[in-house]
Formats: sequence, C-alpha cells, structure tokens
Amino acid sequence: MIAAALLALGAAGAALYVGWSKNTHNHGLIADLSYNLGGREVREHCTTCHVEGGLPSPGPNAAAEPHPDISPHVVENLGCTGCHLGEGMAMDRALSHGLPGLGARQVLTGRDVQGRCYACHLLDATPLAGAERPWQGYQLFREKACGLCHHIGGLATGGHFGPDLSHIGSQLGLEQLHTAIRDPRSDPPNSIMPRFPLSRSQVRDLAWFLKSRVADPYYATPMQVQAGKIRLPEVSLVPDDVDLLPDEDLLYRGKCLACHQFRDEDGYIAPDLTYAGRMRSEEFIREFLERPTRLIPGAIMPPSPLDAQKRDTLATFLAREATSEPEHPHAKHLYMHLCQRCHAADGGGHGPIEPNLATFPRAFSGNAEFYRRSDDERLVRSVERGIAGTSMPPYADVIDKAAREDLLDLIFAAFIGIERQDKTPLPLLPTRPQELSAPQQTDALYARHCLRCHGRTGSGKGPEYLDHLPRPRNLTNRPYFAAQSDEQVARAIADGVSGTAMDAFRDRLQDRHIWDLVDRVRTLSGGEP
Amino acid sequence: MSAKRNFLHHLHPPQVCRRTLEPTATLGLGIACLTCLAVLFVTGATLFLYYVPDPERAYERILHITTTLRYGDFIRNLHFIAANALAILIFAHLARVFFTAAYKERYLNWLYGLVLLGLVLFGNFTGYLLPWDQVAYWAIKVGASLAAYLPYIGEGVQRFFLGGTDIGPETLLRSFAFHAGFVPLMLVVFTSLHLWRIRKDGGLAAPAEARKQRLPAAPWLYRAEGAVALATLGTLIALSLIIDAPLHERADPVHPPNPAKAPWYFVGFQEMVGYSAFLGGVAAPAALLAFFTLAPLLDRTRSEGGIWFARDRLALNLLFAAVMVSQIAFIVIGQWFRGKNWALIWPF
Repeated sequence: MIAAALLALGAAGAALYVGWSKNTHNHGLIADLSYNLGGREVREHCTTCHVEGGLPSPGPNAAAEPHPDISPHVVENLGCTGCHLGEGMAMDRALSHGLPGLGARQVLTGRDVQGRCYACHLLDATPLAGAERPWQGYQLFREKACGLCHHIGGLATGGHFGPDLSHIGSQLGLEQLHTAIRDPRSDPPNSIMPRFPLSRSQVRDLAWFLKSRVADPYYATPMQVQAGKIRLPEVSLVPDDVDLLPDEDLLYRGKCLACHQFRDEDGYIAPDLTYAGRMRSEEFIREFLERPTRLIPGAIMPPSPLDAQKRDTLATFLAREATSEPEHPHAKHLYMHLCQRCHAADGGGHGPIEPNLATFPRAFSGNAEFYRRSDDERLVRSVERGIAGTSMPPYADVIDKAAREDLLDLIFAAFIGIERQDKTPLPLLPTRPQELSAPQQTDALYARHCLRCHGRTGSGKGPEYLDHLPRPRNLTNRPYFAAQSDEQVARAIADGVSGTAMDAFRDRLQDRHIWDLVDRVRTLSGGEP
Repeated sequence: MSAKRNFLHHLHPPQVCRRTLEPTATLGLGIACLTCLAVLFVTGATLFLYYVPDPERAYERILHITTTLRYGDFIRNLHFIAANALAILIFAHLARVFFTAAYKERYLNWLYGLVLLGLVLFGNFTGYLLPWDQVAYWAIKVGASLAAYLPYIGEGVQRFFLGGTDIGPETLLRSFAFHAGFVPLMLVVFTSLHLWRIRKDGGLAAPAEARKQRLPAAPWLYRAEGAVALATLGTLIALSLIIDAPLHERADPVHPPNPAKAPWYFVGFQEMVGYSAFLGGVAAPAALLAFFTLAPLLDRTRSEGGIWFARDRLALNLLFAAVMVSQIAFIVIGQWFRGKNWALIWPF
C-alpha cells in the first residue's frame, strides 16, 4: 500500500514538474489573436514566438527580427496563417509549422509565400507584382495541356481523365506537388500521367500555381464560385512569332504539340505526327482524335478537345502536309529519325517516350531469341503495315521498300546481333481439338495460369502486372488480336514470348487446354477476327 | 466523511475471505479497470471543457488543448493511455474470470461484464474520431465499413453511426454525443450493477473451503484495493509522461493513407476480413459473441468456481486460450505486419 502510494505520488509529482517546465513561452503570455480574413474568423498564437512577425528571438531578451515590409498589406490586419499557412493554434514547434505527410498546412517561407497570393487575389490576364512565378505556372498549365486531363475551377472545359485539381492547394504541400509533377509514378505506381519534360524552375512555377488552388478562395464568395462567375483568363496558345501553315494553328489549339512532335515542334511525350497523314488514313485520324482508346487500347491520350468539324480539318491538314520521305535515306539516319523515339537509340526499347505508350516497344538489343523465333516475313510486314492496336504505325507510304529492308538489316546488324536468316525451328503446335472444354473449366484454367498478370477481365492489369516490363498484353485489345491468327496466339501460349514475362506453357498445359485458352483470348478481345 | 464511509461499507461486505486479499486471486484486474474508468471520467470531464465537435474546429481545439493549455497534453495523454489500458485490462479481466470459472452461478454478472466490454470498445471507437486528424478519420472509415459486413442490419448500423452514408459533420457530432454522453452514462449504470452483483453474489467466487477463513474488510480489503488503485494510477501517469497521444495531419477525405487501418482493437477483424469477408466479417465475430455469451451455460464441469485452471475444465480453457491467442495474433499481424495495399511486410 505504502509502495503503491509512493509510486502514485512520485508519478504525479513528475507529471506536475514536467508540465510546469514544458512552458517554454518564457514571458508567460500567449499571443491569442483573431483576425477577420475575408469574412472568416482566424485565430492564432503565432506571435507568441514570432514576436515582431519575423524569426523568433534566440534568447529571452534579444530583440526579434521584424517582419519585412509588405505594404500595401498590413500584417496586423492579415495575421500570419493567411499567407504562411501552418497551424496557428498550436504552440509546439513541430505541430505549428505543419506536420509532414501530405503537407497541406506546411509553413511557407521566403519566396514560397507567393504560392498563396492567388488564394486571395483573382488570377488575371496580367501577373500581380511579386507573384509572377505562379502566374507563369498558370501559363505553363495551359501550354502543357494539363487541363486536358485535369479539371481546374475557373476554366470552362476540363478533362476528367486525371484527378480534379481545383482544391489541390488545400490538400498537398509544395514538396508533394513537386514530386507529383516531377515523378508522377512515385505514388501511385500505376499512374498513367506522363513525366513532362519540365525544368526545375518550371516545376516550381507550376507547384506555386497549384498551391494557390484552394477549397475556399478569398477572392470570391462561395456563391460566385458556384455560379461559375469566376473565370481564369484565356491564354493564347498559338505562337505569334512563327509562320504557320494554313490550319497548322489547330495543332496548337488542339494542344497536340504539348505532347506530340510535328516537324521542329516537340512535346517529348508522344509519337511524331510529321508523317501521320501518310501512315494513317484520314478516317483513322478522325476516329483516333475522337476516342483514342478505341484504336489503340490503353493509350493515355485523352480525347481531343476540338469539335468534330475542327477534327476533320486537322485530319485533312495532317494528310495534306505529310511529306513522303525524310531526306536522308541512309538507314542509320532513318532509325534515329523514325524509330529511336520509341525503340531507343541503343535499341533497348526504352525510348524517350516509351513510358507513355500503351504497349512496350519491342526491344532489339538483348532480345535475339525473339527474332530467332519470328518469321522474317512477319518482321517485314510489321514495318510495312504496322501493328494494329499498338503505336507501331505502317511505314509503307513513308519510306520505300529498299529503305525498309536496309533498316531491318541495320537493326539486325547493330542491335540484335544475329543473321537475319538465323532462325530456330519451333516444335509443332498441337492440333486443334474438335470440341473445346466447358467454359467453367476454361475459367479455372485462366484463373490458375493467366490471371496473375493478365487480370480477371484480361485488361493486362492483374495483381502482378507492375512487376513486368514489357507489361502483360492487354487481352481485350480488339484491333491487335483481330490481326493475329489463332496459330500465333496458340504459339505465344505454348512457347512463350521471349524477352517478356510470358512463359512457355506447353509443359504445364494439356494440348487441348492451349486451344481452350486461345478461345478465351478470342472471347476477351471480342470474338473471331 | 462518515456518509462516504457508509457508502463504501455498502459496497463492501463486513468480512471477506482471506483468499480475496491474495494478489493471485484476481490479479487486481477489476480494480485496475475501475481506476482507469475513474481516470477517464476525470480527464474526460476536463477535455469536455475545451473540445468542439465541429470538423472545422475540432483539430484546432485539439492543438489548443495539447500545446497551449498548461498540462493539456498530459491530460490528453492520460485520457488516451487510460482508454487503451482499459481496453487491454478489461480483456485480461475477462480472461481471469474465465480461467478461474468465476462466472459459475453468476451468469447475470458475466453478462453485465460483457455489456461493459462492448461499451468500453464502443467508447474507444467513438473517441478515436474526435481529433479529426488523418489517422482518426480513415480508421473510423475502415471501422465503419467493417460494420457493413453484418448481415441484414449492417448497413443500417453503419448509417446510424455515420449519420449518413459517409463520414461527415454528423458523424463527428454523433461520435461526440456517444462518447461523452451515452457511453459514460451507461458505463456508470452497468459498473454499478456489476459491483452490486458481486456483493449480492457473496463476494468474489471462491471454493467452499477457502470461504471459511474470514477477515474483517476494514482495513484489509480497503488497503488492498487502495494499493492496486494507486499502483494503476501511478503507472498510467508514468506512461502518459512517456507516450504521447498520437496526432497527425488534419483529416483529408480525398487522400487516404496506404494502408488505412482500423483502430488497433478492430485490426484483428480487419485482418480476418482480409481473408474472407463472410468468415472473418460475419461468422467469426458472431461465433466469438456466441461463445462469450453462452460459455457459462455450456460449461457443465463440476469443479467449484474461483479455482485457477481447474483440472476438469482443461478443454474449455484451451479453447478460450486459443480464441484469445488467435485474436491477439490477428491484431499483431494486422497492426505491424501489413504494409501498403495490405501486403505482408517484415517490420524490422
């Protein structure tokens, strides 16, 4: 009893002592101030430590630094957290400066404060003095066509492909915004947002602009926002210092050049459109602009913002302006000109735009086994007619047959490293049985062998799909499978696809089951070719 | 003074078994629970003065309490520690009663105890949301979605608790009302009944021969109880000096943490639901509930109550131990061995 009493007494004494000594605001008073900020009450204790508004004084009696002059603003009327964020009600150093994590309330200091200017001021056609960088960020947002995928409050049109960014400044900190722009796939890893070629300072501009997109802006009443009265200014996307061909402005207005290349203009995200009119029919281009994923399933390109008539004009323009062949017919130049954007200069498949393509470009180097097993005729045809359902376009009308042959020879000599005629004979495929198994059996078969990579619906996004590059084939890719014969599909199942994670299933499956799965692929990709 | 003593005399018998005073008889778990409860009432009443159940202000009020008010963080830590200690101690108390078969001839009090257990868990759960920070928000989101696995009534229960289909201001207000109104009131009622039943049932369960050795309650019983209560209090205070009640960022309804976990006492269920929605979410909890409520009725052994690990109860004790150990294992796995996307991880 006495021991317990002593324990309790000791603990209580310690608690009282610790509680007393934790009182670090040595002058004993807490600055408890309330401000009226745009009609909202803000209460904060910041000036307890930041006495003069500047950095806290080091000792009990040393004079604190004053706040820099910010006229016409008046610190006494605005308070601190309106511009600097942070948690005004906390008196603990870590808590009051905003906890790490999402960083929504992380304190802004120095030039980062300009990330808050447009939370109070309406973003106008001309930048606000002192807040030029976030204004530049807004221009970038429009130029890089961020709005094609992301909606943002104040713009008439906006995509629904990506998350709504109207309130992003209230949700994420500057650092989190930087990371999200610089490396979109860091979280979540299956993000389809491309990595834009932006400089460090451009990323910073964009982040400052996005930080000002807050849930409760001060420049308008909620009613005005609701009624759509708040409009962000239009940005002229067509450069006025360049001579444009007739209708070429549509490439700018349609925001194509934010990602694609057309002659000297390059967005470094998506394929080259210079020869698009030669490679694809006008019909194809028109349909592709309207719904890209119908022709290339898995394409990350959002539908074009242009209306139907302008899409027609653009398709006609691309067809009209496409030249027949580049001027340097030497195979080496052709490769660098036409192939390396996807297949990479070292032939490894990791070309500059590879991460943004729906399917991984076939690797040349280190992939000899694949080419030993592939018919030469098939390779020739791939270059000539392209591969349907993927980003590989037909080159028949762009370069002539001799040049195509030279190109293949070069690829074999420089990257693949084997003779073009060096082929491995493949074992015979099992014959197709008269009758296939019951669908339930095939379901079980598919679930056991295919589901982990190709997914339940065959979308190629099974639980393990991120572990493999090239990614598992999207089995619902109708145009791709329409161009494949049953034998080709059966071959891939039986003998695997070298250079990918697709294993040979010949030994793990009964012969008839291979054909059951071929049939399943046909069902998933929408019927017979 | 005399009135108070009189009241305590009503709760305590004039004489107690000598065995009651031995630490091994009960391990003092009941009194430890009672002490936690008292600490919760006192600290809770203090926090009541400063807290506002409004999503716009709740977080700032917590910041105010923890950083500006003198002893504010200590009071909040103490409330947090006592609440979690109570959840652990109450299960330990339950296990003690089971292993000593103290529920024999005392079925009603066993049921009161179960009600108290439910109330404590519910009180813990509702209190979890009140800081309105990121972890609290998403833990309650997960916890409330676990309720939806109950057949037939699940969605109704969820809607009643959330005050809608999703967490919002209504949920916060309801949680606060349950946490600071309904649950404390019910705790007082059922704790009184629980204590009263002990007296009515003739003190602690004890074998007949141990009942022969008797001692006056004053001062021996008072001293024993006081010692346990003070030791518990001292430990709680000491712990709350070391462990800070968690506080994360403000709640953000669009950015869930990965993984989002229920409060630790429900993580076991979350883990089980991860294996099978029906087995883990419905069958196992129902079986647990049935087992706890019906155990005294199913117990046909002849040994007297009040004996630790009676021989003829070996099978029952093993079953109970298995249930408890498996639940603890599920909680440990769910809490420490689950990472992003609920994948198994090695935490060290």
